[in-house]
Amino acid sequence: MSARTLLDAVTPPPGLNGQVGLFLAMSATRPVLEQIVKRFTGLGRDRRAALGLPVGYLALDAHATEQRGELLSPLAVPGLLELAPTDRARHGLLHAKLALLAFGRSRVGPPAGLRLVVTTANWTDRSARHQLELAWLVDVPFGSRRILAAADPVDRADVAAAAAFVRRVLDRYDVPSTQRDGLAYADRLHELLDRCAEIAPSRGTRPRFVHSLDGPLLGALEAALRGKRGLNCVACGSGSFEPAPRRGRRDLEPRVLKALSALVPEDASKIVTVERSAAGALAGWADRAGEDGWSVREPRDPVRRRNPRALHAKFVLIGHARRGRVLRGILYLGSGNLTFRGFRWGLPQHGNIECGVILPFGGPRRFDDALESLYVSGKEVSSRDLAPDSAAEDEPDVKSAPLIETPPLRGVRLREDEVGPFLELNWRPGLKAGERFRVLVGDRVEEIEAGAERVRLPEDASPGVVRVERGNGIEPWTIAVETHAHRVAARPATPASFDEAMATLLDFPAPADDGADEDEEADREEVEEPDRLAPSAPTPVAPRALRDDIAKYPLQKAMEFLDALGAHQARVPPYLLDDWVQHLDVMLDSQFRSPDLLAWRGVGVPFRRALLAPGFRPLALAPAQLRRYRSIVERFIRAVEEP
Amino acid sequence: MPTSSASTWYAAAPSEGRSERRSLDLGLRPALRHFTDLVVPGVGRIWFVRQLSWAVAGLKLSTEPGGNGRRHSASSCALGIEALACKLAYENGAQLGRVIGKRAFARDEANPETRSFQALIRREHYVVNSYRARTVRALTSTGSGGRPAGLGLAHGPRFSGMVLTPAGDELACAFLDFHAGRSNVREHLLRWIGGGAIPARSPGLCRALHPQTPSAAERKLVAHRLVHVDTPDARKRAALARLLVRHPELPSVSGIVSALRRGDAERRRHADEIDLAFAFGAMLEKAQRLIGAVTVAMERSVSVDAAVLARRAAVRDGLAALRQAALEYARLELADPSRGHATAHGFAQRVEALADPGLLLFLASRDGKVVRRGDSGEIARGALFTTMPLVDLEGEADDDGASDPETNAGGRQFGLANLHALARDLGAERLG
Repeated sequence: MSARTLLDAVTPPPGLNGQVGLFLAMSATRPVLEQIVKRFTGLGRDRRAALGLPVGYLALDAHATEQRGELLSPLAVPGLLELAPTDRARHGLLHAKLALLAFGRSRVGPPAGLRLVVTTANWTDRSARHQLELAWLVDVPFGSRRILAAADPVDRADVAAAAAFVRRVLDRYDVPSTQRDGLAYADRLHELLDRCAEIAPSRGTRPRFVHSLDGPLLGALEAALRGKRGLNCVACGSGSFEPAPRRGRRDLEPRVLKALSALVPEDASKIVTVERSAAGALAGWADRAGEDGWSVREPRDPVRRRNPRALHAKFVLIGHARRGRVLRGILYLGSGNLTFRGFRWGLPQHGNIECGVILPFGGPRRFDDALESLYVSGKEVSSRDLAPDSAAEDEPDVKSAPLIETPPLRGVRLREDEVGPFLELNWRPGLKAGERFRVLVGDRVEEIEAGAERVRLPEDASPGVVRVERGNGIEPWTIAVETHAHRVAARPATPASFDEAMATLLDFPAPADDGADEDEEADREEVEEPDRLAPSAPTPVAPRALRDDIAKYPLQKAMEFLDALGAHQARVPPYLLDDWVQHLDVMLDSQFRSPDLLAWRGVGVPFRRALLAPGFRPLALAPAQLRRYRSIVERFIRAVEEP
Repeated sequence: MPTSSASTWYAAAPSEGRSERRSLDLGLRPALRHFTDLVVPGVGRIWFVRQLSWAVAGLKLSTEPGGNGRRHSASSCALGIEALACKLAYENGAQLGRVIGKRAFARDEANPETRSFQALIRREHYVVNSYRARTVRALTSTGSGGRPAGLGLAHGPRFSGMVLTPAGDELACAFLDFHAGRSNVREHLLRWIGGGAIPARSPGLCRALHPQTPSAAERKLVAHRLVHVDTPDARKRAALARLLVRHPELPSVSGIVSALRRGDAERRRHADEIDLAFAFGAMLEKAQRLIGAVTVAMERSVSVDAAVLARRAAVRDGLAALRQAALEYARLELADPSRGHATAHGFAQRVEALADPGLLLFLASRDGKVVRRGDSGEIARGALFTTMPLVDLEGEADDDGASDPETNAGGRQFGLANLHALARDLGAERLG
């Protein structure tokens, strides 16, 4: 068995970087999300925060629980944005667990590969460390028609089918686009889904990916088994089972297991693996399971003997076994527990939103090895060993649960007109007319009414986020601010000196080990970031040493700036030019801000000519890259020249 | 011609990394940081000189091309130097007190390839939690987010983007220019980073890199930054360091406080701050122990009514102890509220105001991981529930990576244990 962890499913293939990903699950916790995004991008949280590039989108079940009452703050895991649910998400529990990922040689250029990950795990510490989970992934190269033609059509069909499923799930969420809503923060998600849809093979290729939006997973399993003969073994397991019946006999075969029994002949060998503390209906039935042809086993953790992990994986293996070997069969693994809502009902029948894959289980392969890799032990358990509880946390009943609180603003854009910078507010529909809110930007507080279109900012302000509170001062939300560069919640560090500003500007590309070790310190210390935005927090004093450094030797510093930037740009390889232009856009703007450049005004340094000269700017810029480079330079020139 | 499917499935091994359980901080982490900065400002988690030397040397070498003409990131260079120092010390078998990564080194003993730069910067050949990752706070020259500046050895908030200050550069040179055999440390390291070999059994090089043998020049420079700079923070550190360095073992807090009280007004104010910090620490510890008692009481139940729990003897005792600690914190804070922290103040107020069941529910809401507030107002097991008769404040150690005297001292020391170790490493004569 491989020693791969859940996090390994998001690790980029050799030579590629994680570009953008969509993470779907019922639940998630911040530390695991941070590790996932760090592993996926190879970038530490400080660097991601400074860049402000959305690298991940998160869609979780929309219902409020004791653990989760609000959306993840955009500061919690820099680069990861949680999508806000709409009222459409009220119906059904989002229980599906998958990730769609794009990888490329650069971070913002065209992708070189797409990946679909289907797991039985949520993106939580509990799943990653304390539960037995299964994961399946497929990589599909992305590029020219020739490259695509070389990929396996079923792999392509899986990715495209998953993207189509995700689109339907995201109909329940607020996913704006630049064209429709003037908000750009989800544009990279739309691009990802478009790319996944593009690789769909010609019709007739049946994907292994299945879901419950149109019908139950059980139906998909039945369809996959149609025409298969000689099936004589079943091995299944689940983190949850249907609850014990409230009245009547409790020793009858649980109905989901009965449905599985119906897929194989009566004399087939059948094994079900159950966690002792969450056996549901199996607890009352285990003692007479043998009469129904079942062996009830406990799970086995192959890694931890002491304090073993709890079974959370959901799987069904049905095959033809002979002389201790599985010769052929199918394996379902995915989010759907062996419960009514997870497996027997689809969303139309008021089941959960589930997904999974049904894989051909090729052989010959030792049956015992197959069981071991599915965490099935040889140890049978009886009713005495089992608790009739169900793991309510794994599949909560959300029929009457309220939705989580969503912020009143869908998004905020930083704009500028002849008067100065302002925030353009995009309100969520359905707010009460006249409802009052307080918008906090740094230490400034503005009282506004719902529907107000803009909030004026002081000259030179460029906040990464704003906080919004209802008039009563409770329920503050942190909203990411989009800027001209389509960067979101960017928080570049303020330089304390000219050298520091140059070091940050030229800190490109990020070292390959950045995500591994760069900012463990920051990880531990910046969790409570929003505290710094509270109006009572002292206003950070921006050191003016950069301005003083430039003022002392304006010409020398200008030459140092141009020399170092020119030399650095000349070394940027062509495949990283998209990333470099993105980096320059953010860092030039944030490190060399207008008030600091006073001393360069009127001293006659030919910044424009130098920065745009063919020998100075990066070689081999594509037309789009050149346009963006020019606009970055023009903005910098304005910062230097405008009073 | 399409290739065969590139799909694969696997049974997931448990992930590495820090457990969420470690953050049994009840939302008080900002206050914890505040009080640590109040007691020992600017030192972060530094406790011996070479931690700083390795870090600044990494920053310095990242600006110089290695033997193969390539430059490596500052974090790689610093991590590599630290890992090599530990590996050579391990292989030479002497003074292993501060050597980490021993488990990986033992595993790699038969494989000489693992002494290369490229290998040693990988966590599987060294550790997950390096000393390097703990240096950022101490290196900085400017404060941020209301936190004090460090020792002023580098500018910049992020390690890889840091630029050495003149003082940092001097420390890097003191470390790198030290001679070990025919070459100095810089030449050895640049060759090694560029892909060259490193002498396996060179006592000279081992000593030049070793965590326990900083040179006199390094000690002098670090001592200067720690205590001889004229800022209020440095004066605080100086008074404490001079007091602590005389004691082979960390003295008791009451001893430290009474010694400071004999000093001038600034020292007396510092003594009050230490008292307040430790009162906060006691309040947090009592709250954590109370959660421990609750988990023991819930050993056989998934959820329990808070009123029922509050009647259990151990829980009742825990509640009383927590209230007492909160009262003491509030009393000390009242003397000068500006030294307190809003989060700690609010917590203490709730502890005082709530009745027993309400207080248990409040704590369960603040934690949410080990125990949580159930949907019907009862106390329920959280996702990371485990019985904890004595609450492990930092959780289990999951590798043989960096720990510090602070962690090993038992109970929160608010930086005093680290400063004590650092002062001892510097020597009394340099702090004078």
